[in-house]
This record gives sequence, structure tokens and C-alpha cells, in this order.
Amino acid sequence: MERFVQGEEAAFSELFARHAGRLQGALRRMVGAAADDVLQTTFLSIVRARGRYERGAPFRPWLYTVAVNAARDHLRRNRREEPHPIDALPDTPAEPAPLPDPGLSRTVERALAKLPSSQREAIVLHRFEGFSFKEIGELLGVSETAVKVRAHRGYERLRVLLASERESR
Amino acid sequence: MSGCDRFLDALASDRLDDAARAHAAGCPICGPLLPVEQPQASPPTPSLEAIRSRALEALRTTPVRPWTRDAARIALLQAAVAFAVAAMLGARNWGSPMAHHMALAVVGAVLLAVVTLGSALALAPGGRRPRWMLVLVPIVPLLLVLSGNGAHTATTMGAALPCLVTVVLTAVVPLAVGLALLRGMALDAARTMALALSAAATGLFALHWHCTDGSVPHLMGFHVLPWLALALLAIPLRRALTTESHVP
Repeated sequence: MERFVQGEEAAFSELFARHAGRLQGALRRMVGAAADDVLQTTFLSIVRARGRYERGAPFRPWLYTVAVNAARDHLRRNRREEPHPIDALPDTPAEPAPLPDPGLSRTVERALAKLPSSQREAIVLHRFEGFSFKEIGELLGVSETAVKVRAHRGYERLRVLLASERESR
Repeated sequence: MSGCDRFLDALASDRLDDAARAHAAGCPICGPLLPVEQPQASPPTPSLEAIRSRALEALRTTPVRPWTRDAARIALLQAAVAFAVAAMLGARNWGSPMAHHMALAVVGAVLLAVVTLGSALALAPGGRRPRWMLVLVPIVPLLLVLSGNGAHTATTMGAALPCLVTVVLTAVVPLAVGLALLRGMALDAARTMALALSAAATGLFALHWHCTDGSVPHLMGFHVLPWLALALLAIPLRRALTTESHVP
């Protein structure tokens, strides 16, 4: 990260290769088809404002904070806060396939798209990206308790949505 | 409590035990909610390659800009504006026979710290530090009132209004520069308000030495109120501006 801050291209490429694909999947779950635009905004943001990186801070949570900020800004400017259009989701599940059954994965993603963005963020970061609630709290700038409440409500609603989708089949 | 409820509670409190996992494995509704293992990075796609190229181009053309440099520049600008306006207005309050010199000096030093260190704190990276600035919302009015001489000299609106106008006009340039700097970081209402509180304190500093009306209604209505109003106004102004970088 230090080398990237100094402008070393190889260091940036290494960070990009390590994180971009996975972040693209997370953004697809947050903003649907606009994921690539938001991903580009995210990486341009960290390049332009790399002078704001705090030495020694872990890179991945910092990157995800920037991505969540960019996603929120995108949703706000496009006035489609919740839910993001389901038809905007790609036909294939966001990479890499998180579940063995792609149909099941697609069902979860459809249900996820129907959640309010704050609950969706908490679930994407917790379930799909593996952050703990404490880390998510630090990442979003809210308390751990607030994240737990959002996630609990989100999971509850997700379960209802999944159950109703199952019944309608 | 059903197995599904127990699973949900365990999931939402980061305490997934074997029993909860076993339930989810056999439950068609809870199963999809089980956290996934961290997958390996995938090979780059054409869209990722295009994003990487654009970011690399930006890396080549954008020099690193430490946040401390911006913070130092705005702190110096605000200090210069505060002293210039104070010099223009004069120190009539300091020379008044009713002045409490020690209180005026202490509160003046606090206001100068808000103008200089406050702007640096408001621009500091991360989401939490700028929020500390919000403690100024009750503290600054309290200090102004405590250092006031209690005399009500600006008895008409015409005599009192120049104080309000001074706070607003003095803040225009620092606020505009601050908002321009805020475009380079993520939209954050607390940070915006923190920086605006610091920028608008330039006018408070100048008036502190000049205004001889030390009554509570005047200080609250014509010094503190415009200071707070500017800080609140800065939030929609910042929201209306585009963001160049979403880094916190």
C-alpha cells in the first residue's frame, strides 16, 4: 500500500488484481447493473485521494468503505434507493458463485435486491464478504449494535422473501 | 422458538454454532442464508481490465496530495481572514471599560483554535474524528455568553444586524474553499458541518474583539445563530456538489 501511495503502478496492479473481482461481485449485489461504473469510481477515488490513506490501516476495509460510499452516492443520484431494479441484475449470479446451486444463489440475490439499501449493505458485507459486525461498524462509521440491528432485520426480511418465493414456485 | 428463529438469531449475532449450521443445512429457507466461504479471486474480465487501465492512467497523472497540506492551507486561510476582518473592525470591545479581559482573551484563543485546528480536525481522514468538532455546538455559545459583558448596547435591529452580516460575509470565502476541498472526500454531513463550524468561526473571532453588546439575546441571536445556520446550510450545499473521491 505504501508503494501504491507513492504512485508505483505495479503495487496498484497487485492490489487491483487481489480485490477488484470480489469487490465487483459485492457491488453487483448493492447496485445491480451499475456495478462496473461504481467499481471504476471506487478505484479512481482511491487513486486520486491516496494521500488520505492512513499508514498502517488495513487496505480491504478501507477499499470497501470507499466502495460503499460510492454505491450510496450512485443510488442517491439515481434516485432508486430501494430496491435496485431486479431486472438490472445480471442473468448469472455475481462472481464467484457463492452457493453450489446457481438457481438458489440467483433467488437469494433477487430477494437481496428487494431489501432497503442499509440492510442490503450489512448483509452483503457480512454474508458475502465475510466481515464481522464490528468490522462493518467501523467500515460504515456506525456502531456494532446498529449493524446487528440492520443485519437482523435484513436477514428476517430475506427469510420471508425466500419463503414466499419458494411458495410461489 | 423455532429452529429457523434460533438460526436467525445466531446468524445475526455472529454466533453460528454447529446446531444452527445443521438446521440451516436441512432447511430450504435458512440454507441460502448461511455465510459463504471466502472464494478465490477470479481471472480479470474485459470490464475489469478497462477499469484498471483508467485507474493506472489516473495514477500516472495525479500526484499524491497529503491531506495535511490541504488542512494547513485552509487553517492558514481561515486564520488570515479572521485576523484581517478583526483588524478592519477594530478592538472596540477589548478597549471598553466593561470588558472582562481575561475571559475575552481565553475565549478568543479558543475561537482561534476552532478556526485553525478545527479545520484540520474536520478534514482528517476517517469518519469519526470530524464528529468531535460537533461538541462545539453547545460549547462555543456557552463560552461567548460567559465572556460577554452583559451590556445591551445594540438596542435596535439596525444596530444589531451588522453582527449577523459580519458572521455571514466573513465566512463566505473560507466556506467556499472548504466546500471545494470536501468534494475530494466522501459525502459526510458531520464532516461538512464540522468544517463549516470552523469556517464560520472566523466571523465570531472578529466580532469577539469588536462588538460591545455582551447581552445573551444579542450574542445568541446575532453571533451564534448565523454561525450555526451557516454550518447547517453547508450540508445541502455539499450534497448539491459532485464528489471527486469517495475516500473517507
